[in-house]
Amino acid sequence: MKWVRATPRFLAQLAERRAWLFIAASMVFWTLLSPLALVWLALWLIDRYQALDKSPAAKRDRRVTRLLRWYPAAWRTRYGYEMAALLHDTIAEGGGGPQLSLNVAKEGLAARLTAPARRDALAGACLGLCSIPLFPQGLVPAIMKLTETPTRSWFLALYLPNPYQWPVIGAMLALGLAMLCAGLRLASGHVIPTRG
Amino acid sequence: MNSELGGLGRFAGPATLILSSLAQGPKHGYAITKDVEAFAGVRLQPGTLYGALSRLEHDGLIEALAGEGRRRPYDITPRGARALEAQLTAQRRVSEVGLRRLSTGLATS
Repeated sequence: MKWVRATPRFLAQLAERRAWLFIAASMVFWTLLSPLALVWLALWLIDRYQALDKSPAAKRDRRVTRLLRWYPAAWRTRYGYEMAALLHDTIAEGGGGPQLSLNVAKEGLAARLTAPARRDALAGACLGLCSIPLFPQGLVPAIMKLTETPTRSWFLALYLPNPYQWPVIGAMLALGLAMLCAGLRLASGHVIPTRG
Repeated sequence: MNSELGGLGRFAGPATLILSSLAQGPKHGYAITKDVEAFAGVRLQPGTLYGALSRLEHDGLIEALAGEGRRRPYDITPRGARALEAQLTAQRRVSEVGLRRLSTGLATS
């Protein structure tokens, strides 16, 4: 049938037309719309900045709100109100340097990491995945290398040049052990101590 | 180290300072910071302070009292007082031994 024979040619023509349309649309976007969007974005940001209250008290309010965002919502519900008061006092008396931001960020992230639900998820991920670096990417390639087995299978270290094989095997074993220890420690309810 | 405060990990140091401050009576966050700065010469940053306060409250060593506006005072519990006493006794023992050995070492050198 004539229309059946014509179909592939029609589809090819359509794809070609669509391709040209795509190229044309990309050219329009990158040459015209993208700069326009950037200008619009810049104007919007300038307008927003100009509309902001620039009094010291308002600046302090915004900074305190930003700092508290480091903490998880449940923590903020319990301690956010009173910590905001302390942050206000600290900033007001000149203690609002970068050290304050770093301290709050560090403690906020620690609070997020040790929140019960997050901690359980992290413990599960560590315990569930530690066997991959420990056994198939660490212990098994080490045994294969010691026994000089020619098969490389999917063992990453065995695909590398010879001088890098043992260091990668060692790194995989260390990673697996670290994940196992962290998982066990998190699962037992202890917080992993960090320097501070 | 006493297990009650030792279990607080990296918060054990700030916890000892906070409990020592609260041993005098209930205080809110800012008052604790000022008091610790006055008696220990250490400025507790807000993040460190509230990290330690939340742990101490979770472990039942301090309790939150009714708020004064935006500030909420905390008080030491009997369990917290016992933990602080044990911690300070252990610290005193260590400092006494350290100082005695230091003075003996200085005398012989």
